[in-house]
Amino acid sequence: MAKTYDYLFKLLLIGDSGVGKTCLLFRFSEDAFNTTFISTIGIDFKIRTIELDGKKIKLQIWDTAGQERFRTITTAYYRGAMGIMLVYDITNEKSFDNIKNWIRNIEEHASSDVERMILGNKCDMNDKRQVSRERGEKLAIDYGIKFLETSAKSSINVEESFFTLGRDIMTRLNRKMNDNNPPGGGGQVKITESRSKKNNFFRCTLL
Amino acid sequence: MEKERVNATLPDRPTQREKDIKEEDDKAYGNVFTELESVDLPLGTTLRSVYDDQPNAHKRFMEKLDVRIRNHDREIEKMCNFHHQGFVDAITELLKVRADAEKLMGQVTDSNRRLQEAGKEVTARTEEIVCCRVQQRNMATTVERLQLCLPVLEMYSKLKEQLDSKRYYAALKTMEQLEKVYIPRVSQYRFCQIMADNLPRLRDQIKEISMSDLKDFLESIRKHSDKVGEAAMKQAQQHRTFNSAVAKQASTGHYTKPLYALNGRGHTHTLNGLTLDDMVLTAQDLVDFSPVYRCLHIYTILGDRETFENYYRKQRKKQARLVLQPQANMHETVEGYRRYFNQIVGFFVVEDHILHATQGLVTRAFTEELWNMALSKIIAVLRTHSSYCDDPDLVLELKNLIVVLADTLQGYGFPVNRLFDLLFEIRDQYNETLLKKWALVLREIFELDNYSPIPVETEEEYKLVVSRFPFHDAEIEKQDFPKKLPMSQSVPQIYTQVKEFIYASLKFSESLHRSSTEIDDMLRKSTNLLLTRTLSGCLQNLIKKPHIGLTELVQIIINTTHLEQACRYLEEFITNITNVSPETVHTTRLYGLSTFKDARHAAEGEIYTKLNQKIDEFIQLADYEWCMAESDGRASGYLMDLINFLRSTFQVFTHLPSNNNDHASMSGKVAQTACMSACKHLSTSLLEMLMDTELKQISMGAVQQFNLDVIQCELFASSEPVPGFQGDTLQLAFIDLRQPTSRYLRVNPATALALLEKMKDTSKKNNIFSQFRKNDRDKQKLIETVVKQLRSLVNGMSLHS
Repeated sequence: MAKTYDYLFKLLLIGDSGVGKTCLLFRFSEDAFNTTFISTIGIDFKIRTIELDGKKIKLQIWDTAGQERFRTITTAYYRGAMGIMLVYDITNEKSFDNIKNWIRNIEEHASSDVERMILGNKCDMNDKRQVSRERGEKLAIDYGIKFLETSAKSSINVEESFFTLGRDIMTRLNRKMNDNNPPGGGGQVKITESRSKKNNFFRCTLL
Repeated sequence: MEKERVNATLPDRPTQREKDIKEEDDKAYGNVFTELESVDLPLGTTLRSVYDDQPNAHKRFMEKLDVRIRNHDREIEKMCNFHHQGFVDAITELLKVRADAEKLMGQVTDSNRRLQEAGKEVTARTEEIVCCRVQQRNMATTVERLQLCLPVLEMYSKLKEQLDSKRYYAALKTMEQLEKVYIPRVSQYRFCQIMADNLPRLRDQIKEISMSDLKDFLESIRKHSDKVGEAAMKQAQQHRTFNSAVAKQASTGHYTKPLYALNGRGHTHTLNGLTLDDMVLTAQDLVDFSPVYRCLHIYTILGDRETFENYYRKQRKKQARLVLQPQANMHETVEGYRRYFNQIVGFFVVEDHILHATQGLVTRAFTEELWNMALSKIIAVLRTHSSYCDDPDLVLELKNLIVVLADTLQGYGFPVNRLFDLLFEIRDQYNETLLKKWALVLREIFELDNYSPIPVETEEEYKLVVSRFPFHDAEIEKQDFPKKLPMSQSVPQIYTQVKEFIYASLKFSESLHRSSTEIDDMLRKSTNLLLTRTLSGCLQNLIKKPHIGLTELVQIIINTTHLEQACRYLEEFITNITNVSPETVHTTRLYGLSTFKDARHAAEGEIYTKLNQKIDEFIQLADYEWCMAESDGRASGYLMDLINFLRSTFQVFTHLPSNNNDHASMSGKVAQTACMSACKHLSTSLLEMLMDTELKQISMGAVQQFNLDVIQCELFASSEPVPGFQGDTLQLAFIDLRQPTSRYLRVNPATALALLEKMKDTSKKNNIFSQFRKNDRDKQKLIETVVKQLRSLVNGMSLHS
């Protein structure tokens, strides 16, 4: 079977119910938007291939249910994730406050070197805003995470955020490879590179 | 005078002898002289006798003649002497008279002069009198003549007056009199001639004027016909209301023909002591018809009635065409239609009036022909325009207007059956617009649904839902609040909307005098259309929408089950409206059931498709190293993700809040089918991967790795991801995949052969040196032997089959 990509990055979307995780993913994968709120049940994913530095990268983005009752199902996906989007709703103070809890969840269940990013969604609804951009930025700085305000509805910063997260994972990956394989390896090294990448992917296989 | 007298005596002295001779001569010449002296006789013969008779006769004659002459002279002398004195006396006396005569003459002259002077005045007077007499006579003649002429002039002036006051009809009568009676009496006069010459011109003028009046009338009728129509329609409507009120009141069912009074038609209905007179507004009240009558009269009198009739009919025909031509934007508003109908009704009311008020200006046949033309046009126009319309309310109003139109014109005796036939078409169109409208409504309901069970916190909320949707479930009723109803919020909304649709559809049949069976049939048919076409379409669309996920699909399946069960309540609902027992032989049943069944099947199919798509997406991520020397003993990451995904998905499926046993078993069955289909698809996909023709070689390590993945699949199958599978039903899904890698229970020889070929190639290429090792050499030999055997087996099978 011919391989159609160079890298596979698994990303995870988390955040309170109703902050727009599914919409962000729908915008990113289908470039569409649906106003009706259908709460995600359990877990779903979408795949989109992007290009970074001439490499074909498959982003498998897992969309989790924000509702508490699906927590057991969703946390199982933390460990496999290479990047996690923490999403809150700028018109919902509580969802912003809960970001701290979500970060705690990540620390508990995800691998330690997972790339993270905070998104303040629904930035098109400025008139209903409850969380200022500054507070979002400050929180991100506090945790040393990147931050963007997005709107799935108006298609603001959606591409940017996923590309940023993808690029960060790529950077981390390259750094790791360089650590593991000091330069000067040649052809043989490449195979090993590939293997190490694979190990990275399949680390979380068995439940 | 005295001389004369002297001489006169002379001839009387003759001698004797002579006397003798003379006697003799006298005798002879006596005759001669007598002859000579007689003046009358011719002298020729006398003289000849004188000369002829004897010699010397001439001499003797001469002597004798002389004697005679002397005699005569003497006689003359004598006579003169005798009278001389008298003569002198007379002269003297005459001289005396002369003076007196002169005197008298002067007197006479004077008298004459005086008389002349005295008579002068008389003469003048006489002349005057003569003159006066002549004048008098002339005057008498003039008066007499004038008396003859005056009536003519009077008539003429009357005519002028009539013309001025536009009493053309009278004017024409006057003209006729003038021509026939008055002018001939005095035709010798020039003015009469002029008058007579003038009359035809006046007639033409009257013709022109009355024609232009008619034109004004036609114009005004065009302006007013909508008002006339409006009044007639209103009347018809009132009458209808009145009749139905009366009918209800008396319930005797006396249906009187609609009343539309026009002057001279004299229907005055009295119904149960109530008169309708006060309602009556006639066409004449709104339009002055006199120009038509006038014009008609005038043309009739002028003997040109036919021209007028032709003109009138032609104009009205033209007007009819104009009236029947609707405005392009008519279909946009009720007012547009109303105006159109008013015009038409107005036109025909006027036509009817003309038909009855004039004798034969228009004929029944002509009006009927016009009406038939109008009818065809109206129907064509309404057909076209109503098809533009997508607002059911507007179509409904249009229908009401058509009913009133038909009623009104029927009241005037026009056949309107075709209009009622048209109503059937309009009804279909109405239903179409309703369907379109409801398609939007239903779509919106589906779009706004959250596809999660309706949460009810209190008894009130529960009652509210149950009041809107027939839901009965003993289990759920027993539960404590808060609880959840199995269906999502769209279900009661859809049910309510279907009822709304039925009401809306029913509205069309109001005031159409249809039987309840007909209405029942119509309602069922249109409801069926809503269910089988609109709702079904909406559901099918919904199911295919990309944002509708697996859980939504499951909810849709549950929803459709509830809607399906509610169908019989819809039947009851219709029955309650129409009072037609559903047991009646010809009743159309609601076949909404199939809609929901189809939708459910589609949703189920979509679930399987969606799951398979997800599996395909995972499979795309598969990244086997077919040449790997050795597996690291762990199943592939993508496969683990896939299985985890399936596991959590089915977990969610089967834990959907559904306490109703039927639904539980239903969704359970779907989950089972979905699970089976997913496993089969996964198995097929994995096998395809293995059998891919581009894949030439597979190392033992890779086979080991693949085996590990298959084991994971089998583990998943045996872990009962969905409850209710019997035994190892689910594991069987992977059995075809299992064989190539381990046991040979159900090996398909071709599959095995293909796989072994790949393994053989790998061994040859990669392990050249291993041939020297006995173990590997044996293995190689074994593979080759098996390959040979498999080949013959495959060949044999293909021969037999």
